[in-house]
Amino acid sequence: MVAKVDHNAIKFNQVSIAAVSLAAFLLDRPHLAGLLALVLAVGTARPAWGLFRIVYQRIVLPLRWLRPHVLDDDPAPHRFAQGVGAAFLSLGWLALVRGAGTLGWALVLLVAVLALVNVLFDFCAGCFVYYQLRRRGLIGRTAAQG
Amino acid sequence: MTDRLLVLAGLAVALLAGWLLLRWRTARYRRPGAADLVRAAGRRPLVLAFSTPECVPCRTQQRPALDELQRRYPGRLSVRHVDAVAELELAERFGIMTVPSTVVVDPRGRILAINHGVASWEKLAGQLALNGAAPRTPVRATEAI
Repeated sequence: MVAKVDHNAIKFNQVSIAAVSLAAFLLDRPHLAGLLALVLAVGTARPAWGLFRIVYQRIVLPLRWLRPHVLDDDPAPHRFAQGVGAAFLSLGWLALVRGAGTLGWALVLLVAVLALVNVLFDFCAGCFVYYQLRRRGLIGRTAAQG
Repeated sequence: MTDRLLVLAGLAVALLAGWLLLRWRTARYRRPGAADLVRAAGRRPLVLAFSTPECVPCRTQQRPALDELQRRYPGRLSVRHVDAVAELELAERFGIMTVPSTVVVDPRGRILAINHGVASWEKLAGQLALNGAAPRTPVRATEAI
């Protein structure tokens, strides 16, 4: 489905995810990572309730810190990627509260790094993994891609 | 806090090393050139656009960017769309790692850039020096992931 998607809203979302993930790690606050997972899960299920989207629309745009960059796009893959981020952060948080600090923070930092790489280089990690699996014949043509 | 800052610094160094490795790898794939492909395209600047049928950003972002590039510079370049799985040999020739990817070739067959990820029409026009900018040097390993 092709619709209008504000790519600056997506970039703001990714920068926010990276900033909060890194802050959680630096300040050693596992529950901040858990809260971020919850925020992303809610934003995936109900985009209008997404915290960073609300901040972008109610604060960032009115103050003209950013301008909308609206393109024809399919919002579904972006929501899917956010859902994957929420899943990784949830697993990271679970690992942290169960005492597996290295695994937990590795998952949290992975989310931060992938978000930053997407913002800085327009590099879609999901596309990379998908293409590598496809060219090796590990997944078929009917699999969905984001 | 200090140990965590060190971990982040290590992560940043690892990312930088990965980026440098990617630049080196891309430079290696650029070196042989693509004179045969430019000949087939009528000796005009050429953009090879690698995608797959299921790739959403290829369809919603890269394709419109290429259409816009051709609309703004009619007759000044050729765009060849390549299915990166069906034409795997061609994809491997340029070390394509993801889709969308674009390979930018000048009329002499020198590869000016290999862009891994979405490349805007402005970026492609700049790489081809279509917008009056100085042409990119094909010697330096310039690349974007």
